[in-house]
Amino acid sequence: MKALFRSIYELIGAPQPPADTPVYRDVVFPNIGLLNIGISLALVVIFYYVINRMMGVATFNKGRHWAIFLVLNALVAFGIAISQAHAQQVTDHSYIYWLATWNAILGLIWFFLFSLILRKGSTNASTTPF
Amino acid sequence: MAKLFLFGIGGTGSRVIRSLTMLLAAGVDLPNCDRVVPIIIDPDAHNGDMNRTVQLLQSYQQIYKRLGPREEGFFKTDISTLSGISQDVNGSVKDTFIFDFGGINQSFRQYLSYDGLSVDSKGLVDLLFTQDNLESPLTIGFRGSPNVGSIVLNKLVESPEMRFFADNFQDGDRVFFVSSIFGGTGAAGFPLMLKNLKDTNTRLSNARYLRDAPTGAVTVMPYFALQSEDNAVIDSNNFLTKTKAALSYYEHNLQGLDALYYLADTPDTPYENQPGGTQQKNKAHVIELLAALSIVDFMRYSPAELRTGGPHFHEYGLQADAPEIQFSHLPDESREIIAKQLTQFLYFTRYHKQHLPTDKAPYADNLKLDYAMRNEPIFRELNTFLHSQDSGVDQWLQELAQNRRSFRPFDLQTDDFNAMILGKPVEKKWNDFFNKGLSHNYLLDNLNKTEKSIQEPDNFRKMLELFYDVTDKAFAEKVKVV
Amino acid sequence: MRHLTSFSRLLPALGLTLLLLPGCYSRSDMKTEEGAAQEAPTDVPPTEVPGAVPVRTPESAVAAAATSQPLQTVNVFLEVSGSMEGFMPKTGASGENTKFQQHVAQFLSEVNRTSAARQKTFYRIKERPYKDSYQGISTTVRSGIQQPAKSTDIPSVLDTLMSNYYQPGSVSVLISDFIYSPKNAGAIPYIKTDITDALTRSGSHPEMAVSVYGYTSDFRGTYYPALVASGKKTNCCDTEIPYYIWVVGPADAVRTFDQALLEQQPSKQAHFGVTYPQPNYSLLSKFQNKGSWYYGDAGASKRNAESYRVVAVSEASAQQPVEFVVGMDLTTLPGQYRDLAYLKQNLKLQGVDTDAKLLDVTATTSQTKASSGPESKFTHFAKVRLTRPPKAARPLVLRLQDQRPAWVAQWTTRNDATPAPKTFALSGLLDGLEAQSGAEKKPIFELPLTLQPGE
Repeated sequence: MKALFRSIYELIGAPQPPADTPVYRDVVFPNIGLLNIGISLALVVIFYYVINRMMGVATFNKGRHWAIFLVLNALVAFGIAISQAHAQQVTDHSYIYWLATWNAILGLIWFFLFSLILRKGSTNASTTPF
Repeated sequence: MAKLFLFGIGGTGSRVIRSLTMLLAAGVDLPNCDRVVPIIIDPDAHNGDMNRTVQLLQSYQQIYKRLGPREEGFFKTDISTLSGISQDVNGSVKDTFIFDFGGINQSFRQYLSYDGLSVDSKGLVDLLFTQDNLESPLTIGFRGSPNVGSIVLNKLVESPEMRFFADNFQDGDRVFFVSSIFGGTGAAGFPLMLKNLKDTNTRLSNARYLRDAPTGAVTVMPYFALQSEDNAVIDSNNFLTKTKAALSYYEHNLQGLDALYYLADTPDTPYENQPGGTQQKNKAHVIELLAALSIVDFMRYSPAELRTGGPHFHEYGLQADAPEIQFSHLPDESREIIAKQLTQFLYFTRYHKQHLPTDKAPYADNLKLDYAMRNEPIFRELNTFLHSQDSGVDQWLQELAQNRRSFRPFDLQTDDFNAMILGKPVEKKWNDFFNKGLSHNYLLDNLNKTEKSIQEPDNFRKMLELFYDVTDKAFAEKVKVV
Repeated sequence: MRHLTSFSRLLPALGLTLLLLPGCYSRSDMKTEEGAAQEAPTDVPPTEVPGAVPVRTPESAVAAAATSQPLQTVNVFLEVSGSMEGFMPKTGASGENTKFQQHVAQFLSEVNRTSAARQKTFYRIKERPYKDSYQGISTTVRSGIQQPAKSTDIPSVLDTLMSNYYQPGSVSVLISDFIYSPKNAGAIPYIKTDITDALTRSGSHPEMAVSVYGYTSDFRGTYYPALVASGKKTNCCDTEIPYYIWVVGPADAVRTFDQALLEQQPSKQAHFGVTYPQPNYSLLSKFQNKGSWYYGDAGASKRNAESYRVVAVSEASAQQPVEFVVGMDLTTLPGQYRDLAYLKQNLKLQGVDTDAKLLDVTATTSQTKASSGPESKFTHFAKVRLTRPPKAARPLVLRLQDQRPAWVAQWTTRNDATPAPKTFALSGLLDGLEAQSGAEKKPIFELPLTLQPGE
């Protein structure tokens, strides 16, 4: 699990400063990775199953509504990366913001993938985004 | 495969069949019968009422062919042309709902070969018919002259259509006549047809089946007046006189009839006086709807019930003498038959017009509605059936609502599904934010939901089943009773 | 019914969410994992590091346990021969005393009071040890030697100690001027051998250790030089004369005694055969670090990990060298080895296949002490630089050499005819101790580290 997240997050380069490498690899990456997946999944579930199924809202299913959640997910992903990094008291470095940006992009990907997988189960958004 | 052979005689026949078609499209149940075979008997081949009825029937037929038989749903009952019920070996019966008069474009005088008759015969003819009768061309019907009609229509029995009809008549099939008593074609045609079918010495095949078949008829007595014009061929002031004469004839000469329905109303606004032709296109009237209901009523009786106690005579009374009839003004029995079905059908029609073309929703995507509505003929056919300026459901409801007396159960102007049933708006709880009654959201949600549960590969069949289920649920959940 | 099914179809998704959300890592998690791992009996050095020096944690744990255990017996021997009279003159009218009297009286009192040993026995050494009470021996020190004994020679004293008083958990403390005066001058070149022989005569004691503490004191009395030929000097002296406390016993006992009673005193010291537990040490990733490296230890993110031993080097070059600091807590070592000068000279870095160099050794400052970082836990820091990244995991050892301290040479004289703060043939004596404690000189400590390429 850790190795997986490490390989994903180190696609943008090794953690900086190097001294914080173990903290990033052992704590921050798995945390934000799992949170990111969890939150993406939660938002997808909220969009497809809570709003567009359990609540019976049928007019919140357009591509733009989906995009709202997509962007929301990216923002949350950005935020949790920064807050997780700070929670682990890593040294301030611009790397944190690169990591957060990358996490946001990954959030978009997760959200997209979960959308593809889970949309079929939705009532009113089973064909969103396409 | 029990069939109902429905003879619609004259303009009234066409209009009642139109109403019946609408009821069947709405999914009104017609028991004891799998197929309706309407036969419109009207020598006036250009009659506007007849033409739009035929157009409607053809649409219905196309739609039904695609849908096939089902337990319930819109367009549930099969409507077929006479030739459609069996393979015609001779090819002499055309595939049409109209009885083929073989192009009688003669005058009555020519039809009788008046000039070749003996002097005695000429004298008899002159006694029975006016000069006017003799000179009038038969192409526009009998123009309120039953004496002319009875001569011409008596010949029908020998036509290939009648033989074909008799050949294919089976045990369990029923016959029903629709006619007006005060016109020309209907008044003359109905007793003649009945007499010929029930004739013990008939040369038609299946005579015994024909004689024993449950037979009903609705006779529409005057319910409208025509504007008085000095030179008009039809004078509505004669309606009552003619009706009286006809009734006294019916009293003794209607043999073999199991049920007879009488309908009448007091005339209000006079119609424009059009003796026939394409101009004779009258607004749909509630009396026709009630006449159509009499057919439903007739079909609800079992053969045993019909046979016991001799001919049954029915009349119809409203709950209240309202100039604008809403569902609440109908007797309970009628309301039970049509209120829910018509409401569902209205919801479907309105949704089809208002939201279907713009809905971007899973159900629409899965049905490929975008493409289908634009390209598939059957979807276009449905569109015609529902929204045609001439013969569509919208138009029919409009006409019913505009006529005097008007049948106005729905508010046809509103876009709000909650307010569509007049006198019975859908109750919305003021404190329930999420319960907007029959909102677009509610319908959309249910469409999406239900669409998933319908296993039907054909998208047209699926769409109709879907809308029937959803409007059914909407009625049950939100309207409950009318 | 339809609603029910739709909800049940939601369940797997919800379940997955619930599974994912609490699955977050935290440092405390890792700590518990780590703790669990340590409880396992197989706490072996990381196997992925070939040739790594084994971490000596079990040994140091035993040593620490031994430290807390009080000694069985402490035997204090005070030499009362004539040469010692000058340290312990009879009390004069002025009531002055020597530094020796002051120091030794206090030391004896401390020994008597200490809880570090269960039983304390005091002896005066004449031709042989005579048992005395604390009061008796204390009085001797304070009021001077009443009946000076004949000079005793060191080998026989050591022999006696080894034969009769060497026991596990016990130490013998010998207070003397250690002026070795052999019976004939020809024996002088053999001092080393004589000492070694004396210590081993009663059998081999591989555990035996000796700590030597050197002091100087004013001296008022007759000065007897080692070489009798040079004649004794009366009314000595203007200069201070050295005296020594030797602690002899098994290594553990000696270390315990040293720490309890002698460490606090400013003195010269030299230790032979004493072993010390490995000091606590750790890499410091955020203290004067440079370049691309990080802790390569498993679970290195654990915030309050005691120590880190693995340097993972991501990249290193001449332009961008890697510098890392090893913090060491040397409080358990004798002062001699904590001395910065000694450390700078004798702390060596040994690596395999690397250009790592020890740059500097520094002691803690008020700044590092006050720091909230891990550097506050250490007394000394060794800074290492390297410019070549390791190709694979390689051992790297910080080793403190056991070096004869410089003062020994300074305090040694070949001719003590003139009284001076020097002792005749001191280095020869100590050579003998050293020879006894084994052929190879063990380092004071070895701090194994691992260099490995960053992953």
